Amino acid sequence: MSAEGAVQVQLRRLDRSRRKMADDGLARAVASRVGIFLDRSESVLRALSVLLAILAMAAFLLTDADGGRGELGLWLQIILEAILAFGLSRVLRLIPASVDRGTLLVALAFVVLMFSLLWEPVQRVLLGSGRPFEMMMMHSQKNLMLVLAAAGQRGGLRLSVFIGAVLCIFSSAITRDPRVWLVTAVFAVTALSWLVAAYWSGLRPRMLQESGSQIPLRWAIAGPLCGLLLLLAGAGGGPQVISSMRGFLPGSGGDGGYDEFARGGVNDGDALVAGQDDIRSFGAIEDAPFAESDRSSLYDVINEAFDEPVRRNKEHQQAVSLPPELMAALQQRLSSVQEAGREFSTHRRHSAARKSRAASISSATLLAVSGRVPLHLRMELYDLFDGRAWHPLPPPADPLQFSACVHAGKPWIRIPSSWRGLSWESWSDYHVVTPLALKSPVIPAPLDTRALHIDRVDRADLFGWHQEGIVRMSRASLEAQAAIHLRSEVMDQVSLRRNGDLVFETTRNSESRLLPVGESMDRIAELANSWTVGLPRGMVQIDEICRRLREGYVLDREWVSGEDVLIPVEDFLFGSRRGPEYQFATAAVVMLRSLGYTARLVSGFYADPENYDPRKRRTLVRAENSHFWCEVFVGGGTWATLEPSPGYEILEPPPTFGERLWSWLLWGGRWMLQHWLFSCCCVALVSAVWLQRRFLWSVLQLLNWLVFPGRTERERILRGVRLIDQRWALAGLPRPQHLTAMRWSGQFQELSGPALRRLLRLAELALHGGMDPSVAASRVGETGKLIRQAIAEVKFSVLRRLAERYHRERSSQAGTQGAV
Amino acid sequence: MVVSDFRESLCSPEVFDPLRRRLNAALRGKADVIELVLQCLAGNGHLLLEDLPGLGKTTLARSLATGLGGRFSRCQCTPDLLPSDITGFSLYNQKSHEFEFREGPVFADILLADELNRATPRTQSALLEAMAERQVTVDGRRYSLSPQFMVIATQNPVDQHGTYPLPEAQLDRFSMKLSIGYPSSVDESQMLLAATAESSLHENEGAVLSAGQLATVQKTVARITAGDAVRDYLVRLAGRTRGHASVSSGLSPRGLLIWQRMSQSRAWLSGRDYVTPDDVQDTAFPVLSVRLGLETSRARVVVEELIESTSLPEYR
Repeated sequence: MSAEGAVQVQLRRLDRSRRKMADDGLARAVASRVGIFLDRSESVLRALSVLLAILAMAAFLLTDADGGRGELGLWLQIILEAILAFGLSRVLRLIPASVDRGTLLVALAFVVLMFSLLWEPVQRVLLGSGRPFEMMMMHSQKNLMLVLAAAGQRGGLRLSVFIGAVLCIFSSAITRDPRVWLVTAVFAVTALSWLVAAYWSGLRPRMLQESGSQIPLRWAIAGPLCGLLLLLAGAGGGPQVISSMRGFLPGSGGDGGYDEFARGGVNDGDALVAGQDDIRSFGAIEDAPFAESDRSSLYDVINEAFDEPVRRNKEHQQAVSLPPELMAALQQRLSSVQEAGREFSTHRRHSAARKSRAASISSATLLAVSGRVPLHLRMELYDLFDGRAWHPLPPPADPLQFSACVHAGKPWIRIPSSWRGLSWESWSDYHVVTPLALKSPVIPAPLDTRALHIDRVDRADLFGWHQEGIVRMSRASLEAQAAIHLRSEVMDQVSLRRNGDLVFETTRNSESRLLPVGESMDRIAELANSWTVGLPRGMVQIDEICRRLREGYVLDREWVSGEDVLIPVEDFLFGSRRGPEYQFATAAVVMLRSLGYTARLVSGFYADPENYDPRKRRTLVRAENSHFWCEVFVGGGTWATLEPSPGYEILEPPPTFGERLWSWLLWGGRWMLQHWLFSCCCVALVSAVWLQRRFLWSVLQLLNWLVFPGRTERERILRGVRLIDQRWALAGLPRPQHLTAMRWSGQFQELSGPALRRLLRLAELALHGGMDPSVAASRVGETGKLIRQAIAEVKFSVLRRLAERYHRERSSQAGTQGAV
Repeated sequence: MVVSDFRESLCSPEVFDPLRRRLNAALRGKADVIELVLQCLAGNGHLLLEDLPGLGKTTLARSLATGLGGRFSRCQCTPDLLPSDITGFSLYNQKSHEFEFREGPVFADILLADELNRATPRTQSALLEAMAERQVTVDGRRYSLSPQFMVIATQNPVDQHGTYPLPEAQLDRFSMKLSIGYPSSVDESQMLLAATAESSLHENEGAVLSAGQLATVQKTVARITAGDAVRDYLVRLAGRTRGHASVSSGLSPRGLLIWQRMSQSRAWLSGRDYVTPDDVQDTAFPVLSVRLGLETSRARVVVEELIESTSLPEYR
């Protein structure tokens, strides 16, 4: 056969193959006709996915707000997030096609997910607010959903709609807001359209390539088999296995764990009701069963903590004399019923019973306090002092009325006050006091409590005044374990001291200025004068008195004055120079009154930061935390807490953002110093990760490729080349945009391995139409091995060295040209 | 395996090997230029050789023409050359009392138009129809030319006195413009040695590629696949030429078609049945330099800029 004949034969062969190609082309043309509609369905699918994500986001945010937020802010957030989702979808379209969208999306989704989760501790530590755990998880899912919908990748869209459906079901299930149900209904209808669009756009690739998408047989068998095995293991493993599986399916609380950001339902934060421990604790409600118990009253607690009072004797009556107005007030007070047995004597003796009962009572936890400590919880105010005993204030004669209101869906009781807001600063504080073993109708509350909330108690007439500023419930005792939420105004002590307009005189609380007369009282007044001589009147003198007491005297709760002592406070100041808190407080009040200040004694509880229970995040108050301190009138109808006893502190203002940050940093620094070895390891690890970030990123890309190598042979080959292309870029040898991989690799001897050349040749075939369509669409291929070989041919470190050499040569060339 | 065996299914590029050898023997040390000439031949295009006198333009054209089995004609262009000297003319036969058509040099497979820019514009434009449509019209009658008709024109860029620069319309009909350049000293020495051997005069005689073979090759080249990505790349490059600041008139659609054909031809010569972006880039300069209306040195810079600023098709 002549050469020309051979050429003709070849040409005929070529024609045959071309005819086949033309048939393929016809099929493609038909498919592309349908594809006009299908292309549209693709864009409809994307738009619907974004819409669904926004609907699900709105449903979830409405549920999350739960009526506790302003409508404007809520809708602003919804609109803002919708705009962000749209904006992100626009921005992601601008990303050049050279960037691997799959890896970028995985990285973006990971960042969003982690940021959503990591933001929570930051918010809790720095801003003091937070979300319940399930809301935190759902928020992260919501953010992930929005990112996936915005990215518009096929697999991502499906996952996004799936998360949207879960969010909608979750939101509808836990809310009572009809708007959420409406949004969910719209979501459901839109989701139907989405399914139709997804079906149509799913047709396109099938019409273009005949091979259908099928679940591989091994997975079809292995999947149900795994599920079956799990079920069998669960059923046959007995209760141990089932109880261990509880971790995967958390129950509805009751494990005693505490979450201050929890809300609603059984784990209602501080309103937690531990029904399994005490059935009576199911709410401070009127029909709660009454039960007598071994709970201690304030009187019991004080007697246990500060021994027994000594009966008054004649010598004492001779030692001090009462001025007429004090005598009259005392007579009036003693004649009233409320006074009976409530006075507190500063003359006490050791009781025999105390030691035996100490273990039973003092170890019992009377209260639990959530919120910032140290905190002075007031129970009883004393104003009249007869030289030995303190007499409590009577209930106010013209009581201000309580009123009920609803805040954030909860009933609150407003506590009226005559406080007239002076120019010192105050901040609002929030505490939760849970009575445990305390038997008292008086609500232990800090000074200037403005409102209180007990779950499901919405009647103001259940509350009354115990004394001025001290609230009691109109029943025998507070209900154990029923949490009392308290909002109080706390004055800023620093700003108080800066204020020059304080008024220390008042006509209203005249009893709080009365003192007995006598030689002892004169001695005390002289001492007070000597301590404050030369000091300006006001908080400076008051602070000086407290400072001298705190520094010059010893706190000794076991110390009692001898029974022959006539005036215990005189013995404390001039004799023993040691004693319990009531002596410090009494001394302070007497000295302040002798200087002309209006002061009174307070008893109650001191929530000590040392008793903080980090697991339940609350401070426990026991009998030994019963405490005496004093208050001084500062004008404006209000009093300031003074703490003359050493070792006790007054609540400081909440830290500002900067202070929080600083303390957090300090804490972090200290922690790192304490765990220096671990910290060093961490720093070394982070540095290593940073230094090797390009290598690690290339490993991540490799893993991504291993997991998603591509479905068809064509996809596998092209993904393999993209992977290698990215490795070059990460190693510092980015392929210029105008050079093909074949030509770029040809510039380096190291990049001319046989597997790589072969792979790049295959990529050219796949990309530029040289590959048999049936082979290109094949789902079983051998290229995985080839790609692995191509990657193994050049190690990342070699690539790095190559890049260094390349850039060195380039810069030297540029230098030479510059010199020329 | 996925790589289709090109040599079995298509006309092999090896059929060009004897011609390649012949041309390499005629013009030593210019293998790259010769590859481009072969490319132009396989792509059924017309070639413009622009260089200084004595660098082998005519030698190359003559070697190519003699290497091919078809008819070869040549016209030395001068200002007094008439269009009919190229296309042919009708002569009144007094015996038959009829006009007879005398075919001009264009009725050949290869036409060597030496120093084309010395011909008048009228004569130059006589070639237009022949080059573009492979036909001529004389006295209202249409005469078809050979399907493999190829014009190899030469021009001298230095000696501008008495020349007529080729109009852009004509330039656009050339597929490529090539410069041969000086040979290396080794090649020059070889050339001198070869010139002393008597047999060398006879070696270059005789055709090494038949007209039928060339037709087959040209048909094969026309069927080389230019995939979606490559076509898109070509279109983007063409668009860039039209927006480039230094270029007065960008690439015409005809120019784009020619560029694709030249890329196909290069792919075929490389043994592939599909075009890659590398083929497009490699043919960019000879194809664009003839039609961007720029000086050779400036054209090279502009073409490099164009290529570097246009991103390649993605591997996806």
